[in-house]
Amino acid sequence: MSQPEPQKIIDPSSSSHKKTVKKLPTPLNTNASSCIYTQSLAFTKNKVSLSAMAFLFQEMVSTIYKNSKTMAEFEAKLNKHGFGIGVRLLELLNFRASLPVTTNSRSSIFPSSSSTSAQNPSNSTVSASGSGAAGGNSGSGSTTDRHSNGPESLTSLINTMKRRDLKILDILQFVHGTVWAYLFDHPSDDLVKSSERSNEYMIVDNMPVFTQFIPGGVSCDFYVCGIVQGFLTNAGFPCRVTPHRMPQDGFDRRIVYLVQFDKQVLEREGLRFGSN
Amino acid sequence: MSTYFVIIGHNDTPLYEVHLGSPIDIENSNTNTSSNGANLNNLSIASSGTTSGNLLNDPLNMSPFIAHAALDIVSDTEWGGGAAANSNTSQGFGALLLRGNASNNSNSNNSGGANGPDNLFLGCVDHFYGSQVTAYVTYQGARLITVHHTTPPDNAQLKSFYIGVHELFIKTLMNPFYKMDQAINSEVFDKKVKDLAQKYLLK
Repeated sequence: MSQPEPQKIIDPSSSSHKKTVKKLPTPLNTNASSCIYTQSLAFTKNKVSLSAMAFLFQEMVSTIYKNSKTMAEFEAKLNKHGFGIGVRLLELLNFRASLPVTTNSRSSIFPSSSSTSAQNPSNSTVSASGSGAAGGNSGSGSTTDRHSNGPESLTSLINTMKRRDLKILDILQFVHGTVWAYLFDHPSDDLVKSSERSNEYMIVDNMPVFTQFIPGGVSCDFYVCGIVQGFLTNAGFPCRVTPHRMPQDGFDRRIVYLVQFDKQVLEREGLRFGSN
Repeated sequence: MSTYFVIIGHNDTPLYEVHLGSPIDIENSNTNTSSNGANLNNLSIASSGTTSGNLLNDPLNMSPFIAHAALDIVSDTEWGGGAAANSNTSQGFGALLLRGNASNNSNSNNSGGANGPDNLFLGCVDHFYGSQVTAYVTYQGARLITVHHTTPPDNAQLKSFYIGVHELFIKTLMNPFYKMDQAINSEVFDKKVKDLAQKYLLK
């Protein structure tokens, strides 16, 4: 691998406009064999200490705070940071859900009866993964035909990919169950459909992990909102997610994430799946 | 080249494309096109740059066009439409049903369309005068589309190919420096896709 060139000081009066800036070694730019394609996507239970996470989060919050002029701008930037995570989680967690159920491949085993008060608790994500597992167990034993992606590839283990979630309720169940379990080690505390407006749903978290050391308002919860928003928007359900504090039952820091879907989502739902 | 593969992001920007396979001889490979209704050798459209005027004498340039023309049908199918139900439909136009109901997919003869147990692999979604277009949708709406100028392999092989590329795509996404809808320029990615194609597509 070639050594990066030392950074040259650019003399403003020089006529040549060549800039020699150290290139960030992104895997998109290097000629060296990049390792991102050789790492497996299977779940490895790496835990990070809460204090390290809290310090990192606090530093992120203060940097964004310094660079913002208004609270709205601060919240939007924090949202954007979470958005990128949500986008990646969408693909990654769905892919992992397609793997046959072994002890290592799943991020967590959450109870199949989720406590929701949504209209139609179909539990479709759990049942789909169950059927995928049943089909996958017969095939996972024989790995004679290694996939050409390499030995770390998980493709040879998959028989059926997990379904894409096409309905609002399905994907919200996935967020409530799998995504929350991946992020916070437990499914979220409640998934509620608003009775007033048809495009509003609420995900409840009794003890928000990221902001538990931050006193005051809910602005810092926009990060988790961004994660959810990124996840839903890229799956084809554009929405706005906002946090609201609603203490209840002794949980002082209880946060309700209000998800408001765009009109087009409801229209599509009505056209494709409604009127049955 | 006998096969053209493209990844189109969810905002309809192409992220990656590759021509695979060996160059094909169009005149000789079209002896059995009568079943598709349109005989290619009779199709002579004056186009500057091709000597005999045959539309498919220039498959390299036609392939991206064919793939993008199939995007409408892919968009419809991925949300549960009945567009890809019949493979007997017209050559190259596809049956666009914008208000597909779930019951319309009962007679689909590919992998169940978007209402089957596996709704990522959409199967053959379109024809273009003997070239078949197969598609696969990822969870975020990125579409992997292949134009087969020769006979495509069977569904199991296609699925293995698509799932393999899907896995590579996810690994690309995991790169924190990769911005959404950026073109995928990595040589490693390129090589791995070509290896996959060699194994599953070009038998």
